[in-house]
Amino acid sequence: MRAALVVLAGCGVSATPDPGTGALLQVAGAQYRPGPLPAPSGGPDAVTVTPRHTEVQIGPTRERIDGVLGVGTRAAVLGIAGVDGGWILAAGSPTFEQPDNPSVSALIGVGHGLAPGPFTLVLYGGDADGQFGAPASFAMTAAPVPPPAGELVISLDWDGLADLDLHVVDALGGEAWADDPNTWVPPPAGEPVDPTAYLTGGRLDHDGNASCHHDGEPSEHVIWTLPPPAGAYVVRVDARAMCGDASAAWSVAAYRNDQLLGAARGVATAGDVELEPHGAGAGVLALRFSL
Amino acid sequence: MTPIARADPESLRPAVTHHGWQLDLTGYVQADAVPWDQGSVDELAPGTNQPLNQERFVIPRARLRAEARRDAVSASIDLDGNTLAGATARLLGAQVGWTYALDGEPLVTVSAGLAKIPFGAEVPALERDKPFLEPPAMSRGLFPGAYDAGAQVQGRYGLARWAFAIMNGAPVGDAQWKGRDPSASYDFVGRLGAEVRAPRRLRFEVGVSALTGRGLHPGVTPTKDDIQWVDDNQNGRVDATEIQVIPGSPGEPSVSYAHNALGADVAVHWCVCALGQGTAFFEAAIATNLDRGLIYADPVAAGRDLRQLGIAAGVVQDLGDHAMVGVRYDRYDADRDAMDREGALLVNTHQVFSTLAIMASGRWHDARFIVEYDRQRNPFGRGDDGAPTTRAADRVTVRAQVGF
Repeated sequence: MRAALVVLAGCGVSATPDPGTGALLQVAGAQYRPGPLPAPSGGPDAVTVTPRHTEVQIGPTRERIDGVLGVGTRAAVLGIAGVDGGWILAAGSPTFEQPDNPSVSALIGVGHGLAPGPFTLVLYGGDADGQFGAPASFAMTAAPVPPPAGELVISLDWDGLADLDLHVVDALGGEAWADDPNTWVPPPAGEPVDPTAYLTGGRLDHDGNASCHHDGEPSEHVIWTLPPPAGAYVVRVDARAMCGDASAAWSVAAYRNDQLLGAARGVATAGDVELEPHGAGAGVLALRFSL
Repeated sequence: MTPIARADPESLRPAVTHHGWQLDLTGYVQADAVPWDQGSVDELAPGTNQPLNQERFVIPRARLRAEARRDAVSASIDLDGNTLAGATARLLGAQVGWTYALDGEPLVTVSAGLAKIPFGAEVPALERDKPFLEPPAMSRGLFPGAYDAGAQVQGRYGLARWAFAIMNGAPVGDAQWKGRDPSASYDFVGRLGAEVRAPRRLRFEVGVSALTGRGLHPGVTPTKDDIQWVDDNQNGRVDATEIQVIPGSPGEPSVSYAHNALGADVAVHWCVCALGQGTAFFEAAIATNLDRGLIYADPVAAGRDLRQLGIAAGVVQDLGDHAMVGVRYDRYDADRDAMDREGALLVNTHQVFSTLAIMASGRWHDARFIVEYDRQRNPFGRGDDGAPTTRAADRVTVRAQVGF
């Protein structure tokens, strides 16, 4: 019966409901097109496809590409050569430089499933009958997002919407976290302040998923760019808000000059959010180590 | 009016009589299984983060109605529970009323409260009696939720049927206002119809409906200055030249706009001795700026009026005492003047929703078992030719319904 329904439903052209979240190429605002990329079948040839950079970071969708399409093109399909799954865009107005050719412009990104290294971006043009021509292509490189560099880097990574906070207490007792992002403790009021002294502390790079504003790939790092003080360090993870998620699996790691000092994993739940107050000293113990 | 799935003739219901009031409790439960849905994927919807899976068991309606009467005065409460977006319970309807009867016929009933909107044949009909599983797209777009709060006068005399209402103009399923009335203006809505009995057990029902009122385009509250990072050189780092100040806005006032609709409906009922009762029906509506459920019609935001056109037509036929089959086609154009880009040109397009519903059901007393295949069209996808096309959404639904 299911097969019969599929045949009946197939009596017409319809687009997939799959949002293409798992595709290696991501194109903002486009219709996902599963399956092999189009085979040239007499449609208009695409002229060029040009990104702003030859290297694209794995993860974010923010690399703009521009394409010039053949005369008579109505639709464009973007994809990665040799990889199933493309994205359909409507052909747009010609540019000033190519007044006879429709154009296309989009923001693209590549997913974590794509291995770092070279890949070929391809752009096909299709006519009003859905016939495609030869593609235009551009050789690009997928590059992983480089980890933060520093003498000592303590990182917190997690998935989902939850607002987690990394707390790091250094050997001198200073604590860095979202509301006080440096372990360096300033001198009491009235005493002179060394304008470069704050650089000696471990500094939080940003507040991930702050106030439930989803970052996409939430993380936080506390980074020492100068040699850190010797002694015991404590790393805690505080669940500030779950933001609708039932749980959030997190991982913590500490690196000294790119050498792993220690790592830990855990799961934050709504019960952790109730462990108030969420100020200095908050959170569950994730890691202890000494330098 | 709307074709009705036949049930047992009304018998004695559980009733309580107290201080001269007679209280009736009725209700029904619908349990759906969706074994196949073309639009179902195990993913989350970008933007809303809601699951896209549709192949599931669900309770679309579990309703309880309490109705109290004493002489000409009545009151009723309808409660609804469902699991469409997680388990929920809500007040669906609540009315107080007074009826003037002549020769045992309710000549005039005056009521106030939360009630069905008296437009056309489909919207005012009771869900427990409808042969098809869900309303056509026209009803879901123009009158989402089908209930609104207001005061109503309805009645019948001879062939004539009438229903007129002053309502908030904010149906409970309004996608923007969620049933809360955003403006002081009221919608005036009504249906004038006739029911004619003819030889050979034929019966005709016809009606015309109209609505006029005002909707509200929401203004913007004052905003503070803000800063924004635009990664101009796309190096992933914040450079000094990439920080922009977004100045605060003094706010914009809300603006009301006119919306209106005209509708017509006709139904023919027959009875074929060997088979049983049958009905053919047709309903159409044209509207301006009235869509509040599918493609929200806001002429202030769009900069032009948005015109809607919807039709629904179908046939249902009993097959003996315990079975029924039916087919219905509905088509709804949510914006008849929509434009889409085609290369350098802007061309007219249509934001059309349509469904071909094929239904078969069996019944035993007040229990029904329904299987329906819905072949659906919508404007949400884009095809290889670059034109808007349907995002696959055909489905099969199996429903068990028990009334009491």
